[in-house]
Amino acid sequence: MPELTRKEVEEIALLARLHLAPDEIERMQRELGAILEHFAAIASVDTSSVPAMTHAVPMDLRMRVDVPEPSLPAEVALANAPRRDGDLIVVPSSIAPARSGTGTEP
Amino acid sequence: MTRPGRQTQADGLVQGTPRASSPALDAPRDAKKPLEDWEPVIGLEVHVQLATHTKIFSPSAIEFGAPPNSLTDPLVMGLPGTLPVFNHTVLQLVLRLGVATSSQIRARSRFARKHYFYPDLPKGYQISQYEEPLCESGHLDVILRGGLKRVKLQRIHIEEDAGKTTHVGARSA
Amino acid sequence: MSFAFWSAADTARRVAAGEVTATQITDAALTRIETIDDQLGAFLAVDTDGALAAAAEVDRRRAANQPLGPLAGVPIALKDVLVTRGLATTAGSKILEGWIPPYDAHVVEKLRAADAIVVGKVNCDEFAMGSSTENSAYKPTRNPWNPARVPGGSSGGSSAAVAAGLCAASLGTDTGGSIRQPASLCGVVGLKPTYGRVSRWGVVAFASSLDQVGPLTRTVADAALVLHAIAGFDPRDSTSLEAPVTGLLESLTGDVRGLRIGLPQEYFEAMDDDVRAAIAQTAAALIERGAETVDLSLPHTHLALPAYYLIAPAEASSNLARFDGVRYGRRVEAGDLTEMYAKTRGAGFGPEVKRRIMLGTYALRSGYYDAYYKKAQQIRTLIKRDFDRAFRYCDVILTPTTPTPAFAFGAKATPFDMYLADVFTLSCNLAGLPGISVPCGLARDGLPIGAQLLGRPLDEPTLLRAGAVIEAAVGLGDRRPAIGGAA
Repeated sequence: MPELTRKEVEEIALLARLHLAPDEIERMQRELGAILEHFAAIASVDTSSVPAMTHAVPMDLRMRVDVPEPSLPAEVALANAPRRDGDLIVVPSSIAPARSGTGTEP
Repeated sequence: MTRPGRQTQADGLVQGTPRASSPALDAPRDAKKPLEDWEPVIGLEVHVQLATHTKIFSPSAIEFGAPPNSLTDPLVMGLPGTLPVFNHTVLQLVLRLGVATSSQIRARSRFARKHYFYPDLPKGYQISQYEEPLCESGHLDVILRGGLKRVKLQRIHIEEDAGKTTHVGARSA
Repeated sequence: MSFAFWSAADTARRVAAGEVTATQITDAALTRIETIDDQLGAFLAVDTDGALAAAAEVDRRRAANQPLGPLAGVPIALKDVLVTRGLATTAGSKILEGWIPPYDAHVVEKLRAADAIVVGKVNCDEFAMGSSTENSAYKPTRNPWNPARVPGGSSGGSSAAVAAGLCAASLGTDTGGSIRQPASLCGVVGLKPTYGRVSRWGVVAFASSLDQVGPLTRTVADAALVLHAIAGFDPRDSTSLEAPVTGLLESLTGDVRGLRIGLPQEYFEAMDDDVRAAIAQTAAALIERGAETVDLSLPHTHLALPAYYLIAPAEASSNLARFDGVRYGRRVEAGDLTEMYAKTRGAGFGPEVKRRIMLGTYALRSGYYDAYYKKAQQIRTLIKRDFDRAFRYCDVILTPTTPTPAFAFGAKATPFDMYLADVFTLSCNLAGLPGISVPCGLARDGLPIGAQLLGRPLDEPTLLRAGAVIEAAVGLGDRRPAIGGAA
């Protein structure tokens, strides 16, 4: 498996919206690289005819009837919001020119 | 110079398919004669909002024009520990559409998480379908002046709608 | 009179019989938490008012001759990944600091309905990611048997609180061993139910296809009692099993005659000598009581660790996307939206959580998905098939829970060294099986050792039956830890 470059670490951090300090990037590159090396064993396992398992217990999708239940009062729903304007949650503008905009989808 | 790109109308995509290969791509083209170089193939992504009483993955009610954040529950707010449960009526309505458009209906279909960060997407992902959508390869016949026109449907899949963002000056809410 | 080491079953029975009130029990537990937890560091929040109010309600109902639930007056602590209405829930993370949930987890509803007394929330590795509770953003929790050692993790607060007698039982969560491993290191019983047996509604998600809630208790009988109270179908969890909850309370017959105990060779390769000796003694005790042992092989065991550490971080990176500083929890303000997200998450998550988000994002990235995530899911199938085959020849599988007893703080030099602490417990989660860790003696340095039993799907009763026999034969008896044990 290929070695992890610093550029890759920065790209993944941006995808994950995770600010990393320069020393964290370095450490992450080293540690993730070492972990991935330990995982190299899986590449040589022949799984060509093995189905992927997403869940341990096979079951059909459970569904619910289309009947409304009471809503949270807006005051309760918004009680933990870091910044509010009335019943709205306020965030920095998402349509201002982005500095690094990969992955967002307005 | 014409280039393949996004169409400005809502949710439509224009895919440019070059008629000739490299010369058409490499040489500067006359903007007045784009159709000599390009054959427009237009695909439409159409969103249909289903007339259900509750949301697709939560028993929270739906009401057009209701005040902001008045129809929520822990799941809708993306609170930790909440889990989606699929609305059976959604399946019924989409199956009806699939049958009406002569689509192939999958016996086994699957949901996927589509990730992007956006303030009106509380979980950080949209539950949608990617591989194995419920309906595929259907069609819709429409009557035009010249006769019957068959519109092919690549796929009909199910997905949740995100929330809504209101933009006010330099901030969004 | 000290109630500190009363079992949950005894406590509920005596409260129901009127020998003691729920208020007396609760008062005593709260006093012990206040006096002992400074040395232990198990609790993140103590719900004094809520606990006393619940106890008073139990006593009122008892006085009015109304029926009481099976856990009447039993003090129980909850791992802080379980959501509690009106009581701060942090998941051991700074990013959730100050969050007051508006709802209760399903298991919390069930405990309250059984008349248990929720005394508080206990420490854990941040978002349940870790094997020592050192990854908590708040504080370290000490092992009651030796305060220089870790209690295990991620449910380290749950195991330490029960071992030191600060509550009769606790709930933990187990994604790759996070109930069984700390139970083993603290000398208590820890049960990870079959996937789907207990609802995940209200469990802060780490890896959704692996997470399960389960009890940590001082006796096997208590594990049965608490599991019976929390298990069962919940329509709010699409993966919740509809199978009825049966056979748990009736399972402790003491009879293991004819039971076939599988010993998988891959689990006996590298381990501490004391651990090896204790497990050999455990197997011998089972044979003496009429069980048979079967040597067998689970050939894909060596792939469980890489498969787990790809699947779990991949699911975690998705599940933790919601912690973005918009609707709840901590936010670091910035002028630009992307920067607000990145700074909030950069400041809110600790190093191990960041590492796993990065690892998971890497494994799910377009172009790498097949080589990592899908490959790991295929290996998961191979591991499940190993178990399916093994259970044709045996009824339960016996292994050590951990390769060593509790290790010292800071002992694991690299993240991967820490991952190896879970090497015997991961496969169970990948295959969705039930597993239990039961104390089976002390090592020469006085630290507890745990025996792990793995069973067929929904066969918790057999695990409990064999576990109770191990407990009676080679368990810790009346031996108590250094912290809290004198009481």
